[in-house]
Amino acid sequence: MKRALLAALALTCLPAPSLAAEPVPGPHLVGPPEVHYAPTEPNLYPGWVWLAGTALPSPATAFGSGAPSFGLRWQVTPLLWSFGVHRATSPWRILVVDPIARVSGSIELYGGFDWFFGSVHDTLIRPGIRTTLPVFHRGEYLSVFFGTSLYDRVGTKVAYDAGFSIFSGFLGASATWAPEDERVRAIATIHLRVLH
Amino acid sequence: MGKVLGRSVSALVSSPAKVAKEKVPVRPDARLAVIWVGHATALVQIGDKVILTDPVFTSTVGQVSKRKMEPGVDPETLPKIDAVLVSHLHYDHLSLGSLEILEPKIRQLFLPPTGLRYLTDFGFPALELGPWQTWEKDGLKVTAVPVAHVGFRYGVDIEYMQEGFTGYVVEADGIRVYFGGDTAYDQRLFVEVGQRFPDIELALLPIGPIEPRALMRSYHVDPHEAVSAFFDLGARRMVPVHYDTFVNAADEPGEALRELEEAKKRWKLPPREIVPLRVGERRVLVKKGEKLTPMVLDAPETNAKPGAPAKPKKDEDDD
Repeated sequence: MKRALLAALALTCLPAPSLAAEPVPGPHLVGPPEVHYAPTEPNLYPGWVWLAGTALPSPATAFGSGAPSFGLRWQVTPLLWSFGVHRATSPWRILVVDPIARVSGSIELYGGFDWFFGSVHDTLIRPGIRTTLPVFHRGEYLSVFFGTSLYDRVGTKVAYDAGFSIFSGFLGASATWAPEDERVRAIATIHLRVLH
Repeated sequence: MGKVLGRSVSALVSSPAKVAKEKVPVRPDARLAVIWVGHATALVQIGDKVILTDPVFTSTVGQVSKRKMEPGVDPETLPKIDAVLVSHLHYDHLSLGSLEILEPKIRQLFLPPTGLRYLTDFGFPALELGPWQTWEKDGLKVTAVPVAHVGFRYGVDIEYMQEGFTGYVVEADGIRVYFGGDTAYDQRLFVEVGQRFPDIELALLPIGPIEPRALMRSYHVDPHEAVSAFFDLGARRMVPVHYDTFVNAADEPGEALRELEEAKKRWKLPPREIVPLRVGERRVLVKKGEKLTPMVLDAPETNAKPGAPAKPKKDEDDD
């Protein structure tokens, strides 16, 4: 014990090693690794393209008890949830809907405004829900959609939609079927969609 | 426009031309090899790493632009791909149908900023790389480098998709390869890439579309500008891409290569080399075990040194 204490004392009395003479290797400092690969989310906003696209109507023809009536249909999409977009990106779209978000697989709430003139001279406002499923090329070459909507016309009526889209969803066709509405039992529509 | 439309319609009713294909796309005796698959798609082998640029194997892009030549590689013959580089989001570069075909083989995919927005969900890992951002794994290093192009895919998204374009420098086994994607000629960008990445062994550079030049100039290098960019980069070899594969420009078939030949006359190339490939053709640029030798440039021709803006050296006949 005594010997150990003497040895410890002797060690503490030794001169400190000169740092200048032989530098002690310090930690090797490197910059932080570039691991911030977070996706860049573009800021979608209703600009002039969206405005023009939303103002662009889709031509339609209504069939019912009278002669077929030509019409125009507009749509806005307050909310869309895409289950096809990349998992690292947001699946939500509000008003502005980039084509791939819809056609790669989505569920949307939409508001429709239909204007028919002819034997059926009427306007219809219809909130609806629709799902779109991709078929080819993640839906860009072909997607199909199904939906349903409500509108008020001598009581609340229900309509059902089915259709398809090509060219990334810019062009499509659909059939709308309203079994309870004799005047507008069916509507055939050519869909033109641009960011809405 | 009418010319492009006419060609598109006639191509729609014709089949893509057959091409000779390599049955085994990767060679064990190659340190650096490249196969031009067509358009901006090239299979680059650096040592044991396999890189695929802007993969497009579908018969059309954007549903209307028809393929004129078969892809130079059958996708089923491809090995696992260590890195897929997507330069930007246009249909002829980000082909979702092609990625569906390749999905089981892709180990890692890279996109420009905002690219994930349009990728949709696949089983392989995918990352966006911003300018000069680097990813590295198992001896393979990928760096995004700036180019001059546009970031939208559909046209109607022009207001908010403005960042989605990039070039890449890939490094493995002591070799650097540059991929320019689509780019206009911006000398500052190419010179800076050359300064940051000296001794680029291979530059994959687009040479089309050329016409209508007034429109294309802002987005695409023509063959003359591509060769200038090649010198700005200080690269040793150039393989031209992005021409004569799809009907998507007003260029006459063969026009890009003819202009490239004209462009070559304006420069003193050796020790540099421009290597046009046929679709499906493979070129082994560095054999396994072969050492890279630094380029020795003659004094009067050193205007292409990294850091110095490249100027074409005109032939005496031109003066």
